[in-house]
Amino acid sequence: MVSVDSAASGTQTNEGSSVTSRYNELVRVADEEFKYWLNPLQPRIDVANDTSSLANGSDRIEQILKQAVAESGATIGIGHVHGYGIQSVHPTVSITWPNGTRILYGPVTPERCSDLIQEAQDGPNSHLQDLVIGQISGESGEIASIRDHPFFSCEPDERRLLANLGITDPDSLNHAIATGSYKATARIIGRRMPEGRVRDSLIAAGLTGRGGASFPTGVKWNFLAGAQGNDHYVVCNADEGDPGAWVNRVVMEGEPHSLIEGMLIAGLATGSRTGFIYLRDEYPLAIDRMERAIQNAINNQLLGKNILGSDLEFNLRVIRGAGAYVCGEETGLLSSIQDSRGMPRVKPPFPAQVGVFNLPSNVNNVETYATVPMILRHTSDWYKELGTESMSGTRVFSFSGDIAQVGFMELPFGTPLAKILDSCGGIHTPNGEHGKLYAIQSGGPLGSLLPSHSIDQLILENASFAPWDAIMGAGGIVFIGEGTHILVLNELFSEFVEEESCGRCTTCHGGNQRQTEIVRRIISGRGRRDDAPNLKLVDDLLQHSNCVHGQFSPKTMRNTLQHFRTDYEDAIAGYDPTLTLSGMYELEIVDQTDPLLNEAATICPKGQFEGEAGAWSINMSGCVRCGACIDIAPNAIQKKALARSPRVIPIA
Amino acid sequence: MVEISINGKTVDAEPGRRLVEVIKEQGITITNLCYIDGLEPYAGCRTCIVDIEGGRPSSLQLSCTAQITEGQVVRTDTTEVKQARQSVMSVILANHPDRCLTCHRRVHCMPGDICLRDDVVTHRCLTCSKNYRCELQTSCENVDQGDFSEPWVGEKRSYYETPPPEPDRANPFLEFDPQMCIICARCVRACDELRHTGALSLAGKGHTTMIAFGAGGQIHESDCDFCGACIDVCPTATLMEKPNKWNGRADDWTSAVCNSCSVGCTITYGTSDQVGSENIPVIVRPERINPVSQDQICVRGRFGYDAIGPEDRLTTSLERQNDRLVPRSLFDATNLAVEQLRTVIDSHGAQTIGLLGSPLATTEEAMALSALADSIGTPNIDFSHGVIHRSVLSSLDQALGTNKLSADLTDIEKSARLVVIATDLEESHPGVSLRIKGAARKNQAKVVLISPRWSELDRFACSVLRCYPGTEANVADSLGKLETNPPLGISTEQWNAALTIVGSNEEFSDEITSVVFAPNAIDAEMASGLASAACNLAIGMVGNTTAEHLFYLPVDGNTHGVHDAGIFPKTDGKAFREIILGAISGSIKGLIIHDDNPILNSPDTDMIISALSNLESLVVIDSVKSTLSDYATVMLSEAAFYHRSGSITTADRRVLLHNSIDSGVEKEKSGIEIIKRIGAGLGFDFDRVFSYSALAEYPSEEALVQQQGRLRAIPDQAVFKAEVQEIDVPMRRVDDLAVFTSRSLYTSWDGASSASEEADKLDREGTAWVNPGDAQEAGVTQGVAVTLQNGSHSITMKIKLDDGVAAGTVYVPSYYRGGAIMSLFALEGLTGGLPSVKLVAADA
Repeated sequence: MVSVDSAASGTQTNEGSSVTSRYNELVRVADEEFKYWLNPLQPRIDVANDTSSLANGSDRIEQILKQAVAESGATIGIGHVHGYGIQSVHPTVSITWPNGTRILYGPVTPERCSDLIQEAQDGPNSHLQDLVIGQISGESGEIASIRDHPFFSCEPDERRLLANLGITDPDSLNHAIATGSYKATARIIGRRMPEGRVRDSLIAAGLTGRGGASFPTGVKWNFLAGAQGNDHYVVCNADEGDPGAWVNRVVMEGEPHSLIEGMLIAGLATGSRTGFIYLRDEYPLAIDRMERAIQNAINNQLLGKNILGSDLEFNLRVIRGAGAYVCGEETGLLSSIQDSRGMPRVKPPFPAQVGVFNLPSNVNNVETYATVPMILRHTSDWYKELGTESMSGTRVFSFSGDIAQVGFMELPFGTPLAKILDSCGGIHTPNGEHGKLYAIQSGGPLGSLLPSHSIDQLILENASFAPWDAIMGAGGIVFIGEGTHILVLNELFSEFVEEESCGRCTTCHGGNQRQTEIVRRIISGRGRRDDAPNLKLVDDLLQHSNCVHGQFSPKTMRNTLQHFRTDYEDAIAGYDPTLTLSGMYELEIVDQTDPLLNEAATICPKGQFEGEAGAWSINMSGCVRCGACIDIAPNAIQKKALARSPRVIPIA
Repeated sequence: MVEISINGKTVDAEPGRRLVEVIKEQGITITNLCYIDGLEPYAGCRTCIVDIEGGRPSSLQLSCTAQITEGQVVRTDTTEVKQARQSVMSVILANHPDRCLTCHRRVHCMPGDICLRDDVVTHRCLTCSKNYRCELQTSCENVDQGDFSEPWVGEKRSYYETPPPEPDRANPFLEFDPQMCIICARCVRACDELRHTGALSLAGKGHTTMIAFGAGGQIHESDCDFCGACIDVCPTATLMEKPNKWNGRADDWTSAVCNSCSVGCTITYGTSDQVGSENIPVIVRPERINPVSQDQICVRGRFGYDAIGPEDRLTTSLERQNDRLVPRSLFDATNLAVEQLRTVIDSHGAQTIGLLGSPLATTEEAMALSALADSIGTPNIDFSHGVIHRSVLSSLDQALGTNKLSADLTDIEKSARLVVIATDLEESHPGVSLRIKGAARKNQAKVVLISPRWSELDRFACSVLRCYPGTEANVADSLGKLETNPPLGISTEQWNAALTIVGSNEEFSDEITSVVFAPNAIDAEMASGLASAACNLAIGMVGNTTAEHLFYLPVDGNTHGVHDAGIFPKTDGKAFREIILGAISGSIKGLIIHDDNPILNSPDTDMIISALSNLESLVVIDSVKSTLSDYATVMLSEAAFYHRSGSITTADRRVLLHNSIDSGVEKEKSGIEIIKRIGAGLGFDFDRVFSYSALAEYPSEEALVQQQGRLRAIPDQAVFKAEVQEIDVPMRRVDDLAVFTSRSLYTSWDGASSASEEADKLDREGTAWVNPGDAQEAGVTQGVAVTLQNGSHSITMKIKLDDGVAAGTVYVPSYYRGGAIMSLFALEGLTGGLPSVKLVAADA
């Protein structure tokens, strides 16, 4: 059991002491600045500036606030933090008063900005009671702590990876240093900790890969450390492409230095001098923030040559992905980094033998690297306090779908899914009413579709998903409420995996085309008895594919046949209670007097409205079921299930 | 070697090899649509599934990615294997016109039959140009695809939702129909890994994945050199040769040699019994006999048989009657030629007869021609490039004590250090250029390139010394002497890079060093200087073993062979230039030209023409209606090269056998028969067999037949001398623009010699390269026609602005318009090889 703290007996050299003193100097400067961040001289409003907040208009809020402060001459500072986690109330702001009290508000609208300034001037809970989410820090007053907020009820008492989220400015290196970043690095270099002990402590902590495969990280690093040659690379997979997963984005936008330090330690522990962060271009803010953080670290001798004055070197570079989902597969990612076509390679050789530029490489997920410094700062035992026997620690999950509160949480492994759904406010229909759970989608398009009754048996651990022929995946979990048809999801995922196939294996690009065609045909109301065996055939032949993209691509379809067989059979028979499958309903005009009907008639992209005002009819043979007319005149036009006589469906 | 079991049979195999290759070697049929033997597996088609005992996660594994390990138990014939292959094949077929491929009746179908399954005609193999020679077709038969129920029949194919990609038929060599493509990516890898060109790539993803030339444009706009390596590996009708797309199904194959450069790639002519295709090759494929060319040929080799149309072939013999050429039978024309020659001999003496052979002929034909000269009693025998060749040989002799270098071209690709001196090796000798690229790519070889012009090899060179034309010898010599200061006009950076490579003999002591030089066939003095300089350079790097590491690449195919056969002036005989001068002065009255064309090959066109016009008798033996026909008194129609047999001696003196596709024609019209008949007609005894085996150092016929492609005509003696020679070639400069020329890639000999309209089918070689700076000075712009003026001589052609030629120089391909550029050169040494021209806009 090794951790940095317990490795204090390492030989102290002159260089070692100079590394420590350099680090201490950095900490001194950082602490000085951070002190005034936590206890500012004047009240400060921190606007959340992560992607989700910006999408909800936080930049507009900031602009208004700045203008108002400038006009009124109020002595209020404006700062930036990352959002705290409940993204359904974005944009959020927090106010920090000189006494250290910090309260989170949201959602803030432009109209409430003046109230916000008043609140900052007059003290907590004076003008914005209705927007208070919780108190982040300071003496407990009448406002409940954010930790007691129901959304975070599943989180541990103290966050680990996200400990500084919503508190520090992610663009500030000083904030990061003041909260413990680079402490582990300084210890490792300063005490000349042997490479192997770093890796051993990760193994002892039970840290597993966060990308989905859950391979022990320390073991993986051992492969690279033992690889031939002196040129090794560490690579970070930040090509987070699964719909419904934005875990890596949160880490990179909120805690960029934890990723940098994690990769730096990986470099030190595996004898690599270069690291690449393969970051998807769809995360422009994360790219920007990572690049700035890297530059800050270089300027302070935390990256580049002579790290902290030692003779060690580590260079880090952000590589922007070009939008191919399959480049999230580690070997596809390696190809893409070296400017080859982004195609997963044939394994063996594995990346630890032949990686980027055909040299030994190690690929880990963002969160895996970001977790490393924390383990070394504390101890392996501390890390294992949370989590389960097989998966220790915590990880960040993002929850979305038909739930009341969308957001991300840092949860210990083993948390029951049912409890999480409760903390998210349960299932929510589009009308805002409570609904019933229909399906759970985990692990993205290559992941799984789980039935509603599975939720009571699911905990956040790979082993609990296995009996359902499912995977937990890389952190994105989508709850789907009733009113959605499983085949709609299948079509979505089938099309996605088909379009994102790299084009190498005929089984994958060909097989997924066949699967998509079959699913589309069933949805169009022309399902056949032999579709299930044919889908099974596709499933079987896809197992002959080269990479996990091909091998896992039929998984959601297989789950459908396993867990949603009734819905599938009904659809084959032409019966769809949800009225969402295009071939199984028609549109009926129920109220010819509705004035909106005329507008609905003009919006029809196919021009299938016939007649005139007061006597409209829809020609269903030309209708493409786009639903535009229903959106405009929901009371006048309704879906009606097609009357189908039982028919004999020929087998092939 | 370890033992493995395949289908219950114990097999010895090398551990680590790809299983699929071993399976194929055992004669077991296996579908493998994306594998290329010898390359890393791509594992895209997934059809080579076999059962390997203990495989994980299932025992069904790909045999292309699986490697041989001790005790492997492999089965290729189980039901599971077959079904897995069928199911994979079925998804391949879903995006390919497939109705015949899965039809059990296909074998009974005849062209024109109505499909009993009522399938649309575009989905049937019978309408496909690759029918009966298609790998996809055989693969379907291998797995009995007809027995597999096709679950996808009648499905609305998402593949066809996007508009089908348009076929590309815009160039004369290669047709590309992406609709037939099964995305095996063999072509991509062949172009990249076998040819090092990389003109092809995969584009798109998902169902829009397809093969793209360049960035997805047309083939002739990409980097493609039309070598056709992609055609050879394509398992479907996606990539096809254009000339033989519909008739390329060969019934028989004939092993032959390409004579369009001195590399001597071995090819095989496919011939067909189809009506209309008799007596001509219908397709050309590479033949692996020559270990230098292996499975690769270039555009000239692959499409050379089709370079000119029948209108440019000399199909009947001709007799001159005043201004007209009148058709005659070969028999009559031969008698006529004999009569004319006898008249000349009788009235002016045998010494007034000259003979010109050609390196495009076989060694045997050259032997016969030499014998004819001896019988007539004239020492005046040569070929247009003879002086250049002999001056190189004598330089080699002086420096190395031999001109029969033992250097083996198969070493090029194994080299770690290469110095290449040539104008554009990629165009003049593509086969060697390919191996140099291979050395650079696979062996990380350090390549130094001395060249006056940009070529594709630039990209593979560590140092490019862009020299003034005609100063290659000086630059090479300075480099050999490791002079610190670069010669005039050469960048210091490149020079220093070259010095490091040439100077580090220690570093390369365990590796192969090669020096390759390809002199231009214009100026003997330059060629001889270049040969000496190359020797000096090589001696500096490899010392006494120079003869094993120095490569001399003559321009034309059988240059070594015809020289060995005796095509050189005998004692007191006239060499090429003297023959020409003699014709003008009247000391040569009769000339026999076999396959050569001085108008195309020799400098000073005006002088050549006045010489040819001055002859009493000009007997031309040729298979094309060459530009000589304007001056010939008799044209004897010879069979095309593919209708003749004989041997060829390549640049590294490898003796290769060239076979006629139809021995019946050979008897009648082969060059050797015609020469024999002339000899017999003149009253000499020509009833004998000419064979390479009679020549000194050549292998015997039995040995050659047994070890085809391996035997070379080199002396057994291993050690030669290696003496550094003084180079006395002046550093030339001309006042205006210096014109230089070399052999270009696309124009064939046949086309150039007959000045055929079709000579340059791609229309790539009809422009002069002018440096943009010079163009600006002369006030001409891209694409305009200019006149290159050298005193009273001038030619007019379009220019392209290209900084691939140095300032002060102009490049014109030597085969442009039947050798038009030759009129600017003089048949004298020195300045003759480097004319000085002014650039004048043509309309001014």
